[in-house]
Amino acid sequence: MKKFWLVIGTFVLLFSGIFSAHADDFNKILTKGKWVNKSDGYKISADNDRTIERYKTFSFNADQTFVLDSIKTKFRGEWNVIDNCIYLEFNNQKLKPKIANLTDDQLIVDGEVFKNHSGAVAGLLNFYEYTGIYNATPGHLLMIVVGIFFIFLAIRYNYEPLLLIPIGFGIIIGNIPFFQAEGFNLQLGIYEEGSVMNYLYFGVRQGIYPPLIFLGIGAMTDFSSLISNPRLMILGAAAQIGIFLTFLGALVLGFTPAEAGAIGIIGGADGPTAIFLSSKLAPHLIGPIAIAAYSYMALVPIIQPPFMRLIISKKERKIRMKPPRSVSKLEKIMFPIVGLLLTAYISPSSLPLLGMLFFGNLLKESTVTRRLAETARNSLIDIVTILLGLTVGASTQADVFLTPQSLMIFGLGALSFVVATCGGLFFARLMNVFLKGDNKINPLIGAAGVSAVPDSARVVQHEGLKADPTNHLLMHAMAPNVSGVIGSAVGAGILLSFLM
Amino acid sequence: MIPILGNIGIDFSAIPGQGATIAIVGWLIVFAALVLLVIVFTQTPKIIYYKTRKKLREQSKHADIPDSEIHLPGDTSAAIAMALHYYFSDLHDEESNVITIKRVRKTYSPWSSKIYGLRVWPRR
Repeated sequence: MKKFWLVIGTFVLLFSGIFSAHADDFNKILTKGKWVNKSDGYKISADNDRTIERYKTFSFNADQTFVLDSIKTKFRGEWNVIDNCIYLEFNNQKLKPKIANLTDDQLIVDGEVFKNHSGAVAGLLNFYEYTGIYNATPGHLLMIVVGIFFIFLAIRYNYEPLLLIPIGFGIIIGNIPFFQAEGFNLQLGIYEEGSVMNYLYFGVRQGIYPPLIFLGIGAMTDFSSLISNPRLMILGAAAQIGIFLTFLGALVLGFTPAEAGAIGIIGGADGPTAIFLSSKLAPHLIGPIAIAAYSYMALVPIIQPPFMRLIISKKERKIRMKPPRSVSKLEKIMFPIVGLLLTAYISPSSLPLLGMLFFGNLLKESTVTRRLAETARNSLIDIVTILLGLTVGASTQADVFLTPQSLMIFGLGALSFVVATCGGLFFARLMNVFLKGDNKINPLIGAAGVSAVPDSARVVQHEGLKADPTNHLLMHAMAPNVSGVIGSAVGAGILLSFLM
Repeated sequence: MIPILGNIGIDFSAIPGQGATIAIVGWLIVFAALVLLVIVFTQTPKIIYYKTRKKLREQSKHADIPDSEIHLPGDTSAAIAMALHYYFSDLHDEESNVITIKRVRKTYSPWSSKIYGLRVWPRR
């Protein structure tokens, strides 16, 4: 009997040793290093359907606790081994418990395979996931090329460098890929709440920057050419046909009326106005609209000349215009006040733009607020231009910007510039039918009605000099040019009041 | 559908009637606003010149003052401005031509004075 108990005791001891050795090995394998899984299906944001592969890491501790690191969020819990299965219970009661199995150096949790890596490798994978290289898409690279192209245009050809450099660099900044996931905010991107860029972008989203830009424009614009020959103001109205035909074109392409209105304003060839209106009517389209407006403004020296030569005959291009009369100080002071009253009473929705434009001009023309005018036309407009250009550029984040809609907006934008230019040119020719003798105007100046101050006036001067090297049209072209600014602001106000 | 290129065309029926109205009315309003400005600023100089003419008539007691005397074209004003600019910027040429040598008396400053230099042995 004694022998029997001895044999039983030996067996018990032997088996318990075997079992405890097995459990010790299990724990060792589980707690060694980290278990990493990489799987697809993670949305990059709530309003974007693009999915991306992300790493998920389990780390088990000897004290029966574990940490699950998913989308850079840590979920803690306790683990237990029962019948070769690992039971994972999360501290967060909202998360359901999970059962994991350990087979062939792989941990399988809910069908997802986790591979074991040392802590260092898991850390490197975590770092790699944060890098731009991991998160880059062809779209990001394409947009960076576009940004570099803008910078190239600005430096090599001097096309609107004050705008294209900030926008181009902004595009590069906005397309540096970073870790994005639904419900996770790294506060880096322009669309992520709380990021520095997001705060700066507030001025664009809420339409704060455009009126400030208009204040500066008003303080630097000399309206005397317009006051001396007010008839030329009508050319600024004629060229606004670009806005309304593009609006119809956008409706045809299936945009909603509000979106169509925001797209149509590209035809006004006025960046701040375009941003202002799109921030009110279609905030989701600010990026493509602003980029289209500013890029076409910069490309005015390329877009306009062919149509100017096509529509205006060589003989007409040589027409010399009467020198503008001198404008009295009283008229110059009256202009911003009367101008504001007349235009804002007709279209009060354009008050933020027109109010600031005419206020800036009064600061300049009153001659008693030189310091304020200096600030508005130098420091203030420079600061706002930097912020506006940079944030508009950065808003072209590939995953938000590269959509078929953006392509359509670019197409419509180009069309609107062409229509606006042709509208101004044809109207100038029409005006000439009714004008006699030395009152006739050089129809080239009609092209300056598209706004795009002062580039389109410069193009007119250039084309005029090509036809007759002694015929300077710049002064005359500035009249429709600045009236184009007023016209596009009034147009924006009208669209706002119709479509808001 | 109006065909433009092959099968591609513009479907004008997609434009709601409201859209066309907005476009036409909108453009007309822009025109109206600027035409109003044209009217005001075509008439304003006439009023200003009428007042000036009246003032001049009272002062000189001449019945007729030609338009050219009141209304200066821009290039004439520019020429006058340029002449004035040259006149004032060349004023220094009409100096007295008398060269005088004035004794300049320097006020004393201890700055870089030799007596405070490091090479002077301090007196006790």
